[in-house]
Amino acid sequence: MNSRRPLSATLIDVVDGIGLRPGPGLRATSIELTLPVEVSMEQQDGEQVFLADLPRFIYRTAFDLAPSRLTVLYEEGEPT
Amino acid sequence: MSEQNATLPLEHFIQAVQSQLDKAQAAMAMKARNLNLPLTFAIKDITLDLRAHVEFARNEIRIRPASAADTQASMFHLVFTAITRPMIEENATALADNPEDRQIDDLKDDSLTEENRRQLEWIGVRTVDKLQEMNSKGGVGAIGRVTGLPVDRLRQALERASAPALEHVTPVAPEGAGEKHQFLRVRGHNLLGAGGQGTPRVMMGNKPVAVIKATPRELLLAPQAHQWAGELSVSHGEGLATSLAFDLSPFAPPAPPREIGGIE
Repeated sequence: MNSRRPLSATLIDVVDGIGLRPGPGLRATSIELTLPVEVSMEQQDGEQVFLADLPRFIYRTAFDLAPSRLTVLYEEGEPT
Repeated sequence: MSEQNATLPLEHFIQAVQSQLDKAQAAMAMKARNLNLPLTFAIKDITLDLRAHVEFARNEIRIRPASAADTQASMFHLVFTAITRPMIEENATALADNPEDRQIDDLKDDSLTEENRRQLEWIGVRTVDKLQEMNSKGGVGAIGRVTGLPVDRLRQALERASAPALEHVTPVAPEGAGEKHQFLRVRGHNLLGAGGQGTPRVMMGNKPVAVIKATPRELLLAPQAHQWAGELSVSHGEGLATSLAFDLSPFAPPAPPREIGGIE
């Protein structure tokens, strides 16, 4: 069983978790994060889904995936 | 081999990542609209340093994320950036093919293998018409050099691709004639001779059929009463004729009554 989240869920949860909300006054207009991610592919409903989630364990063993690295830049903008 | 260990063509892999990015963008925009937020955060750029196992098979790069056992995995540096709708449309227009054109996959004969067709697609020759256009400009030699395809094999494929191809035959009634069909419309490809010039030779059995109008994609025929069923063949004079069997005799106009001699 693969309990990793799809990349989209990870990206949404990360920006939600930071708690940034665009608004008046002094505010962050962009944020860049570099994160280690464990990556795999999974077939779901006949479609290949790209899973990318934060590592599940702090201490790694030889049985754990070596993490890849994800850098994401979020920018403030009007919703489309 | 389990699904997680199966490799994917690189383009399918990239599409899977793009699909996830689109989902994330759409979800963040939807949330902002639902919460009436005037501004939201959107993903501008994303870079992925991906540890991956890479294979090169049949001119195709295949990839899968590295497993724990892949100690010597490759590193893929993928950079995605958000683009606007006009940018998408601009690129899509450049890649769009004429829907009337035959895809290069239609050249399924002995002259070109699947790998050969992929090599042609790789240099942007995605349709038979594009290949013919390059041939008319003397570009076959260049294609051969770039792709490594033997020029003889390309010429053979082009020769076959230039032969007339018949798709279907339908009855046609002149305007105002109601259901009285008088003509046959033939749809296909390469129905005119070399260079799109010259009326093709159209036969039913051993008898010629009158051609009223001819374009590369369509012929309008005026068949005689006995020519509404049988095997229709089209040729350009030289080379093989292409034939198609059909039966539209129920649509044939009634034969004119025979004249009976008068009594003096």
